[in-house]
Amino acid sequence: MSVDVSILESAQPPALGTGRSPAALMWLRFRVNRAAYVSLIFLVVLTVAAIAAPLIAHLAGHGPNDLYRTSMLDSFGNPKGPTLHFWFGADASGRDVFVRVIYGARVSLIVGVVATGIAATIGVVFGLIAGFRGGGLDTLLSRTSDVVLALPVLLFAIGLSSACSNTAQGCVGGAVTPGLNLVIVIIVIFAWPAMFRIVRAATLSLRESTFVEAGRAVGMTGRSIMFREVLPNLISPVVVYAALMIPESILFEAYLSFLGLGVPGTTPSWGGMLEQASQYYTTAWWLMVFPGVFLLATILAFNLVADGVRDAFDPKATK
Amino acid sequence: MTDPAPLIATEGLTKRFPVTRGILFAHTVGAVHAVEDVHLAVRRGRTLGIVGESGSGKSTTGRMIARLIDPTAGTVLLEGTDITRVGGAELRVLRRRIQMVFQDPTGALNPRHTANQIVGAPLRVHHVAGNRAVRVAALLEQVGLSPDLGDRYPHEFSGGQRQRIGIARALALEPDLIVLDEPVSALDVSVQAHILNLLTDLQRAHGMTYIVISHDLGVIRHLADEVAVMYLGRIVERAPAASIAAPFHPYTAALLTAAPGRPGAAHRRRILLPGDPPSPITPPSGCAFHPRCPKARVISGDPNVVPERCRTDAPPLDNLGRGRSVACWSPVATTDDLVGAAEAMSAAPDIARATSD
Repeated sequence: MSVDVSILESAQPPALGTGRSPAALMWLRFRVNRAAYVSLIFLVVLTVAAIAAPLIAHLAGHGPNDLYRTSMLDSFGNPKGPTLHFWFGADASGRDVFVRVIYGARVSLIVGVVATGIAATIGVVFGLIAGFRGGGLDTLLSRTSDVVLALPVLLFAIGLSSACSNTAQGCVGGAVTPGLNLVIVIIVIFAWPAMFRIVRAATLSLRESTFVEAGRAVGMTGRSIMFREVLPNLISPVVVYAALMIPESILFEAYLSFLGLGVPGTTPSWGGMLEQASQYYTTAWWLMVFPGVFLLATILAFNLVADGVRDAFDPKATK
Repeated sequence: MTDPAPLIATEGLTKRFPVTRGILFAHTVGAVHAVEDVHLAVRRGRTLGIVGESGSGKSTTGRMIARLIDPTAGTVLLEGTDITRVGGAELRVLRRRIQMVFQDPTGALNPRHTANQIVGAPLRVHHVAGNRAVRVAALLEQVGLSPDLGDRYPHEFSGGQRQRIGIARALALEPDLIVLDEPVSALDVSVQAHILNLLTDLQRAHGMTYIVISHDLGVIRHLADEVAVMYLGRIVERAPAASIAAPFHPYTAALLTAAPGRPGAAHRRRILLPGDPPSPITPPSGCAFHPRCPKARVISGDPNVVPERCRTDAPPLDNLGRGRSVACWSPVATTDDLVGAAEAMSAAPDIARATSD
C-alpha cells in the first residue's frame, strides 16, 4: 500500500476534486464498486439484525435457548427441518435455528469489530512509536512482534483457552474470563503484530518527509508530529488492513468455537452451531447450511468491503 | 565578522555525517564532510544568498542555522547569543524567531491538512493569542491567496500556490529570520518570478532577514544583498551581490558563465569544468577545488599539472576589503583564459589520474 503523500492528486478530474475532502473523494470512489457497496449494505442489515436480535426473537416467538422438544423433535429425538414458524428448522435440542443464527451474528460481529479494533489500536500505537522513535524501544517491540508471529497460532490458542477456561474466574487474576473475552484476547495477541509491522514501516518512510521536518521547524513536539502529522497519513494502510483483519478474526472465532474452545454452548455462535451440526449433517442439512451460509456471506462481505476500501484509497484507480 | 551587530552568524560551522557499514554490527568507516568551517554573518533586514551545486553543503548549512540538524562543531549565534546547543522548551521559543521555507512545496505540506490548518499550525503550537481564523486569513491574503481557499487541501493547489502556503506558514510567527531553501527551484519559471517578487515585498513590509539557498545565481542575484559561494562544504567566495559579476574565485567564475541569461551572455563563452565534484567522503587534499580548477592550469601552463601549494594547503578565506573575501591562492584576474584552460583540461586524456592524488 502506498503512503505516497500525493495520494489523491493524480487521476482526479478537477470537477470532482475541488472543494471535497479526501474522505469525501474516497466515499465517491468506494460507491462505484458495486460489489463492495452491496456488501456494505448487507453488513449494515446484519448489524441492525444482530442489535435487534431480542426483538426478532420476540417476533418469532422463540428465544435462542427455548427448547421445543415436543413440537420440533420427532419421536426418535431427531430435529425437524424448516417450517412456517421455524424458518431455519430446529437443532438437536429443539431450539430455533433462525433465532440462534441471528444471535450468532452478535458474537461474530463483536469479535470481528472489537478484537480487530483493539489489535489495530495496539499495532498502530506501537508501530508509530517504534517507527518514529527508533532505538531500543523499536528493537524491543519489533522482536516481540517477531516472536508472536513465530508462535504456532492454533496450538497456542488451544493451550491458552484450555488454561483460562478451567475455572469461571479465568486467568490473569480474573481479567480474562472464559467465553467471549478469552476469544477476543487470543485474537488480539496474534493479530496486532501484522498491523504493527505495516504501521512501523510506513512511519519509517513518513518520518523522513519534508512536512515532518516542517513540523519540527514550526516547533511541534515529537508526540504532536507523530499523532497530528504522521498518523493522518497512515489512515489508508491502517483502514485497508483493519478491514482485512475483521473477517480473519470472525473466522478464527468460528474455528475456536468449532473446537469447543470459544464461547460456551448457551451463547449461540456460528462456529459452535457448525460444530453441533457436524453430528447431524446426514439427516439435518439445515443445521449446517444456515450458519454456514451466514458465516460465508459475512466473511465474503467483509473481504469485498476491504477490497473496495483499498481501491478507494488507490490513487491509480480508474474511476 | 566585521559587521557590528549581525542578526545571525555562524562560526566554524561544521557538519560531518558518519558513514557506517554493516547492518547487524554497524561501525563507522568514515564521514561525509558536508559542511566545513563555515563563517557567515547577516545583518538584520538583509539577505544572504548561499549558492553552490548540489552536494556543496548549502542546504545542510541552512538546516543547521534553522536548528533542524545539529552541527558537529562550530556555533550559531542569534544576536550574539549562542543557540547551537539550545534544546527543549528553549528551542521551541527560538522557533518563533527562525522559520524555514522548503524546496519541495508539495512534500512540505501535509496532504491530510487544509491550508488553514497548515498556516494555523505555528499559531496553535505556540499558543499565539488572538483569533486564529482571522490571523490565518490575513496571512493567506498577504501571500496572495484568497482566504476562501483556506478549506482546500494541498493537492487542490498549484505548485506556486503551495509554495505561497509554505511562505504563509513561515510568516505566521513573525520571525526575525527566514531560511529559504531553494524556494523556487521546484516551480515553473513563469511562477518563479511571482514568488521571488512576493518574497521581496514581504521583506520590505516586515523587515525580515533572509538566508536564501539556491543553485541558481539568477535567484540569488534577484534576492540577495550578499552572496556566499560554497564548494564541497566550504565557502570559497563572499561578495556583495552587486560585485559578484567580477569574481575572484575560479569556481565562481565557472558558475557565472553557467548561469543562463547572464550579462554579456552573447559574447562570453562558458567555462566547462571537467569531471564531477569529488566525493565529500574523501575530499581532495589542499584546496578542494584543485582537481577541477582551470586557474591552477593557467598558472602551471599545463592541463595536467597543478601547483604544489594548491595540492597541499587549503587556502583560507581572505578578506580583500569592500566586503569581498576569497579562498584561493591566486584569485582570478581579468586576463586569465579560464575557458581555454578548462577546454584544455577536458581534452587532456590523463586528467583524472593527474588530479586524483
